[in-house]
Amino acid sequence: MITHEQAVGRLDDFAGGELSGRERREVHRHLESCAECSAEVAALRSLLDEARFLPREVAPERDLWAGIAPRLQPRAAEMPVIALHPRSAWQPRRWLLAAAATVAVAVGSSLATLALLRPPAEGPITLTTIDAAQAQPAATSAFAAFAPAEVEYRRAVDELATLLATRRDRLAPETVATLERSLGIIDIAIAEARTALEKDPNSRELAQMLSTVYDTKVRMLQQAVEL
Amino acid sequence: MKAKILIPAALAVLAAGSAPAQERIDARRSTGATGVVEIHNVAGTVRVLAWNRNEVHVTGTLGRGSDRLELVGEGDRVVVRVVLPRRGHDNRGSDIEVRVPGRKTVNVRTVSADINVAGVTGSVDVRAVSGDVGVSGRPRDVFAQSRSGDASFTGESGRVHAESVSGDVTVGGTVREQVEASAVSGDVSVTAASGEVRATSVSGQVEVTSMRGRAEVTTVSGDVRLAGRALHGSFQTVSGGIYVSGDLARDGTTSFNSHSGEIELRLSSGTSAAVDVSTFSGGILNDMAGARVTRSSRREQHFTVGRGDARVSIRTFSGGVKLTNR
Repeated sequence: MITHEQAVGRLDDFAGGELSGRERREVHRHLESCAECSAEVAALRSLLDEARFLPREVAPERDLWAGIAPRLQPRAAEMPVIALHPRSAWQPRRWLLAAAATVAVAVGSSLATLALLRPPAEGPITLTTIDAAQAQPAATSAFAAFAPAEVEYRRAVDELATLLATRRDRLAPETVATLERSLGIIDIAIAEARTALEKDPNSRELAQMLSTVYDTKVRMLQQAVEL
Repeated sequence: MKAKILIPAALAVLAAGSAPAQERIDARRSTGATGVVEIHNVAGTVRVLAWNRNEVHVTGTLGRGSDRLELVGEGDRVVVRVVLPRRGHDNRGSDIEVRVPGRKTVNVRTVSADINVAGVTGSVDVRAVSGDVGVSGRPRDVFAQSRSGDASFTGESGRVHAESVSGDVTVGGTVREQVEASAVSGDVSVTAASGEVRATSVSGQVEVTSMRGRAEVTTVSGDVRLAGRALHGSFQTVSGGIYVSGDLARDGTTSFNSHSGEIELRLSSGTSAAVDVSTFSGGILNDMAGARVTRSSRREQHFTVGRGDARVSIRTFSGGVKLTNR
């Protein structure tokens, strides 16, 4: 009979069908008496099933990170981040993050998304508000200056939303409802700010407001993906 | 047809009847003063108390349907586990109390069992699915997580991370370095004096008081409520309101952003700040005594109070802005 810790260390391979006969039987016996490990295996298999239906590989259109990094500053540049007890420290969840990252890459991810998916041990990456007006020459309208950032915000949002969709069935229905309601609130705010900026394209303040709401959306999706 | 219904029912009765009854637990194991104690219990309660003996002592009640209590160890690592039978669904919760050497690192994992850890000075890491998790005392650092239960800390620590999805999160006492507190639909309350606070909730309210360091707060629809003597940081919501009462940190930089919620600042009469207010369609009401307005229009206002030490930015799209003295 293997210990719980030994079983935890083999769950990845068990779910992936990579254990030898004896090892597989040992883990199987453990699962019969351990609800925690059974749940982990069920979650892993579900994620692997979803990944199976995705394209094997879709290359990113381009390396977004070089363009996005200067504007989407990691928190580390702003203030020290202290990662407390990464999930993997005691109950390994690397498989989940790795599988999630695989899913993201398969649907056309960018390095930006991979950075967003970085596990807590490596420091949570969050996006600071883009100062659109500072990012472009003064001669450019604030609306035009914000456009490239908006493309990247949308791409990050799409990728996180896709990733979240793969994990949706792991969330409680009421949590999904809260997230959807909140995304609706954010989308209304984005639409309002964007319409106002279109009408007043030189307004740095409106560009800043729009950026702030996008920022909130990315943060919220990032938080949801990590649930 | 009736037989098909009755047979499973009869088996269920037999299974319930054969499940082991409740059983008192009293188990001990010698260990070192430091190292790790890991505790697993699916349902019931887990209470961890520190004591000054180099021994782990487990007492309580093993729930009906549980197989046994496992208390094993190697070196300074001790594992306490309520073992469930390989098959059997009539598992009642086990209530266990575990006394541990105070300097141990304590890790507890449960599903629905509530967790309470008190008095430990080592690191504490407690995680439940639906149970409440609570830590008190003077742990070196704390990680407290529940998905649908509440997560709380009160006491003195270096760093605290507390999170829940639908439960409430509260952090009180003193946290020297950093508090991270987050929820999705639950409320977050950080009353701890802390070097730095990062607090988020999607739809719940976030309250941060006793601020003495920088704070960063984000919500979507929940209100943000702040109080303290040295307020500074970044406070952001989409449709929630931001309500501030206190003093701004001198030389600090602070931003308040709400898309459609109102922002209300009630600052002390001794405030020294340069304030930029901007709104697209919300109103601006400035009743601050001694405010020297340098620029004002329907959409923006720039003013200084005192010597203008703190830098404050207030932005809304459609929410109103109100500034008054306390």
